[in-house]
Amino acid sequence: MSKLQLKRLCKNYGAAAVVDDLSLELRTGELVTLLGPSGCGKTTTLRMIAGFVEPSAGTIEVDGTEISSSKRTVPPEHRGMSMIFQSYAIWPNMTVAQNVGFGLDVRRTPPAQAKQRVGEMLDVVHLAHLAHRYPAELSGGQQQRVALARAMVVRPEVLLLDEPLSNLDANLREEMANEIRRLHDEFRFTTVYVTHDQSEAMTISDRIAVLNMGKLEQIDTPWNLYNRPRTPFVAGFIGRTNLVSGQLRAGQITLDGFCTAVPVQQNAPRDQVDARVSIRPQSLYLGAAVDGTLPMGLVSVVARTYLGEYWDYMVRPVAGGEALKVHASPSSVLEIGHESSLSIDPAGVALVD
Amino acid sequence: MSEATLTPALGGRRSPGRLADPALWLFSVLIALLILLVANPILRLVWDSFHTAEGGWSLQSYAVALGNARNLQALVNSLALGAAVTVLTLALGVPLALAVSRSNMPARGLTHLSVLAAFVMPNFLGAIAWILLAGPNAGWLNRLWLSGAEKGPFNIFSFWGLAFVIALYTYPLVYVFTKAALDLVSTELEDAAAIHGAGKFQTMWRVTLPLALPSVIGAAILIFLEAIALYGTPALIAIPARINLATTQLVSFFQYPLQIEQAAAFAMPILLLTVVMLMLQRRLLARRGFVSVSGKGGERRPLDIGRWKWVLLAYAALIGLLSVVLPLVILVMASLSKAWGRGLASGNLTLGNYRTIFFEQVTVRDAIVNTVSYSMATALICVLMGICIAYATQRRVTPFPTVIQFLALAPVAVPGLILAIGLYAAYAGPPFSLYGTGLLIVVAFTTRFLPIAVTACAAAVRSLNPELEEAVRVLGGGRITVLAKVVLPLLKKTLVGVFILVFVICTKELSTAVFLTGPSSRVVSVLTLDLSEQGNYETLAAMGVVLVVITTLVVAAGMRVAGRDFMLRRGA
Amino acid sequence: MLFNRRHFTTMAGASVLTPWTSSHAQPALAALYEAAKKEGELTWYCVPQTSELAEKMGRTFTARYPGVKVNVVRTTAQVAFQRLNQDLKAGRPNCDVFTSTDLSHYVDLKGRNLLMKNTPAAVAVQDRRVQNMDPDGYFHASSCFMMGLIYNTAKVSAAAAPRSWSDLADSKWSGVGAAAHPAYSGAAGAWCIEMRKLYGDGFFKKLAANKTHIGRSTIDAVTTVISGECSVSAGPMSLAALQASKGNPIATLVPKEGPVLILSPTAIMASTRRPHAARLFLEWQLGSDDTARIAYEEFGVSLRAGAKSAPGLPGLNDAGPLLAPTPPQMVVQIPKVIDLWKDAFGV
Repeated sequence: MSKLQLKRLCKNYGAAAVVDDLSLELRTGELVTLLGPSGCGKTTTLRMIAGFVEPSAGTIEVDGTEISSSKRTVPPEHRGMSMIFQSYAIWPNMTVAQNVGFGLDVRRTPPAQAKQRVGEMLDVVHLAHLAHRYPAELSGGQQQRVALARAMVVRPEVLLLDEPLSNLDANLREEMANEIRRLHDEFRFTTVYVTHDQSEAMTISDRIAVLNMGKLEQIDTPWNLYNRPRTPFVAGFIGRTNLVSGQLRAGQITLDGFCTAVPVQQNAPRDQVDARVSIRPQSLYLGAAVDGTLPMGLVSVVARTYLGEYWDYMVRPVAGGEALKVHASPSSVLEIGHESSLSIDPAGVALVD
Repeated sequence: MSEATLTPALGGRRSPGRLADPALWLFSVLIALLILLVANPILRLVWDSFHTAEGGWSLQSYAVALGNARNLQALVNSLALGAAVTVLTLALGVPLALAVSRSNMPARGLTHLSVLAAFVMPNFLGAIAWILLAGPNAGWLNRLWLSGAEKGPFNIFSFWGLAFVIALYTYPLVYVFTKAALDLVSTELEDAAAIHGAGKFQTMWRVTLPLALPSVIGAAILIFLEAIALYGTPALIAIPARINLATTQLVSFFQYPLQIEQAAAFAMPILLLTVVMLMLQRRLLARRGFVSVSGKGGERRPLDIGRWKWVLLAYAALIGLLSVVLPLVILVMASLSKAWGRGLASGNLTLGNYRTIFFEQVTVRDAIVNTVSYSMATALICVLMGICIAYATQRRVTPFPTVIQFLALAPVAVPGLILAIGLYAAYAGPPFSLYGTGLLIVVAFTTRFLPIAVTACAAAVRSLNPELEEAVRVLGGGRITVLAKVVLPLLKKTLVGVFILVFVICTKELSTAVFLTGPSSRVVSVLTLDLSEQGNYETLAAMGVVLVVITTLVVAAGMRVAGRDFMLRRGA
Repeated sequence: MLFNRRHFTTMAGASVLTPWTSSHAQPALAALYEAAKKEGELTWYCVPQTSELAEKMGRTFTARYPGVKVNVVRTTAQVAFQRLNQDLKAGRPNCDVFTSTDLSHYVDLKGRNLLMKNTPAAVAVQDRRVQNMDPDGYFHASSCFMMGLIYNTAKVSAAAAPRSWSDLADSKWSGVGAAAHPAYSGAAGAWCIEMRKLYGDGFFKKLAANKTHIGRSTIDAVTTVISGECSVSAGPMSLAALQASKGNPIATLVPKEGPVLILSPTAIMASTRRPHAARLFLEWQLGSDDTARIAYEEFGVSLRAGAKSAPGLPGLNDAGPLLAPTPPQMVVQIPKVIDLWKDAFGV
């Protein structure tokens, strides 16, 4: 059942189109992440959903009712949503309990009931012992949790999160990401999450919408995005990849420098002279052939970087052609210039247009 | 608890039409008020200048007002005075700002306080003190200097005497602007110059000062405009000095028979000049490339200037002596004298003057009460209107925020005396008939000082993270809830600071009040002028001392609440 | 009416004293007081006295007539007139009693029907020569003072003191002389008219060339001499004598051309909302023992018939020349001398 619908949403600032013909649909209880580099329009989209920005064209609907259009935008205070901001926006002049209870206060919830719900929510985020502290006395992670509790205690129609983890340090980030996912599983609010960090998006999301320059590149589950990227941008943005061109015939692609054709995992692709494919570095193997892989040909190592968890090799086909990135296990040490045979796992090959 | 079904206590997506938004009504009221306060008087003034007393359209008022050689000389004199004052204030304010902001001169805190004291002292009171100090024949400094000679070297009743006195009490403005700009210059910029071989003074001259230049020029323009619009000090010093100035000339148009149309016509060139210079100033300060305005601007280390710090300290001490210490001493002494000319002779000391002003001369007591109450009322209204207007324009709540902002800041372009004429023309007579009431004074002061309140509140609002307000709205609070629950509590300190700043400025204000006070609504500044006609400096000094004491107490209380810097800060 | 010496002496013999406490005057006064009490207060625009003295007079009036408060507004003549007109133009009749030093203002106000016709019974005790200041009874002489030469005794010995009005333009007193500006002070206006009669239009340029210090009031001319800022000035003799009696280093003398007589008229505004209080005040101002006593204490010139002048000061009865402009002269010439002054001094 569709909860939130963005229909051909556009936002222009002057001549620049910050959000360009974006259409998206969220089901009830789903967590969708808007992912993309800075300037891609994800924050603007989120603010349009919240009601802080009016669309230049297109509409936003919740449960079938239009709340934003170029003609009329319902103000944020009447949308029944809630939002967690990048800076948390915890009011410094109120205690933790007052912060969390604010939304209930505005909705004129009876005080006894409000107190109980606030107490429950603080327990959920493990902050009950800090209920009467002021934000200045809290750490970043604790402030985060106050923001979460505040946003969720009002049981919003749609929960919006604007890069909430970017102000935290790395190890805390992982912990909080898991926390957010846990809370989502518990409460199942329809959630829109915005971030530029793809590993965060992969951890948290039901589906990820990849945005670039205001346009939607692809919306899919994390697995599909990684393994079945449909555009060069998505392929390059999610994880590392090799983007190479080759001849595509009868569902199989031949790359320069190799004679072996590799089957492409797409249903009935058309023949193309100059087709682009994405090949994940983890699906390329150097040296002895491994089960399930196709030998491609001879390559020579042109560059290498040791990264601790794996070797990053740059190899070029001996017969000439584009260089390819290969990730190998830490133990396989190869010198520059070493020639070795390259095999490929077809599952890591995706046709991108 | 894990139910995510919505209990839409907000009524889901019920959204009232824009018209019912109470915030919008509130802000519309503000626009109406602004039009009444600002647009009406100024427009009325322009209108009057193109009419004659009989009511017909004509340029005759201009012909009479500006055709007279003496009147034109007055304008020229005022321009010359403005230039002289500007030069002097730059010489006073810029070195002090450099010393306090960037050098390792000792007693920087004390210097800062002395600038604050010069700011609190009313211009006309300083003028009185300097008449007592430097009157050519009886002035104290002259008498000390003399040892047989007929006349002392100092004559306050001269062009440079006048410029000097005005500069002594307006230089704090230059200091504030310069210091604010210098505070934002990161030491890294100076270090970079040092690494490239620049000495300390080269660095100051080629790196530090140029970065502050736009602010300094901006302040200089404001000083120029203020100097040509002053009335109190010119009335006290320029008349005996036989220098006719634009402001004293304007006042003479108000003598019988009332020639308000000619006064309006005479005021137009000054108004135009002010507008032009302000536009210039805005363009200068809008070139943000010079100093990064956001945030704190990086680390600052005081520059070690070696032996020069003693020179600067001596200079700072001299300025403090001239602007604060000497005048206060002479005022206190005069207030305790029976005849100020006799000095500390025995039998000359008395508390009688204080007894007179508190118990006997009712007009003086009333004037002090009036001054305090009008100033408080004005400060309160300015703060409330200021925060509403600042919020409405910064957060774009109302339509046409630029128009509101323009209206709110427009009075800056109108010299106080001229604004008073406009307000007089608009409101003194029927149908409003506010002449002689305290309300008219409060209206005049509010119109004049609203720009200060709006600017300070706008800076404060800008410093607020907008997400704090958005968080309220997302949870269902309307604009008024945002203001009441988050914005006002967070800005409490700033607002107190603005209140006290406006209060102090009101107590010093003379030019705006001089036409608009009636017998029952007289304020200390106007009364000072009246009493000075009688040469009754002893009573005057006592009144001045009382006023300074009251103002200092209020400022001290403010510093407690809002921090040491609250009045001389330009940001939040 | 011309106030020259000969006129006075011929009329002096013919003056008749009318006792103040005549029996039919008392009940009228009592009735007036009752009505005034209901009004409760009055506003008095006062020019000739210092604010201190004016307030003292106000308090004395209230002491004699409890329940009637006096709001004193003291300014220079021009400022008082300007504020009065501002009041009237704004439709706010603040002033009840208007006492000033510039005769021309009263002629003007009378011509615009702004004064109340009222002749207090107290006029009867005044010297005959000042009784008919305005034959129609719209304004009356309330007090007068003489302008004479004033000098600082610490700086100037009695022998070296100036003797003539023209000494003010003498280079001996360059830079240490003071005079009041006729655009602000009514008394100065009258004085300028007389100086112009004596010495012609060029006198003001000479004063300016002599670096005469300009004050906004004749009172300033006294205090500036006391302070030593100036050594000589043209100013009110009564005030100077009063200050001298307090021990200040100041003395006053009559110049050989004669002192300038400044008569201060007083009148009730037609727009007054407290006519009874105003009329009571005028009765008191013109004829009460309080004002006579205050005048003597303040070294003023009493207007009472047969009154003695304070020691050392000329009274109305003294022999010797007396300079005084007539009301028509004041009306016509004051703007002219203001212009001459502004051209000479530049302000």
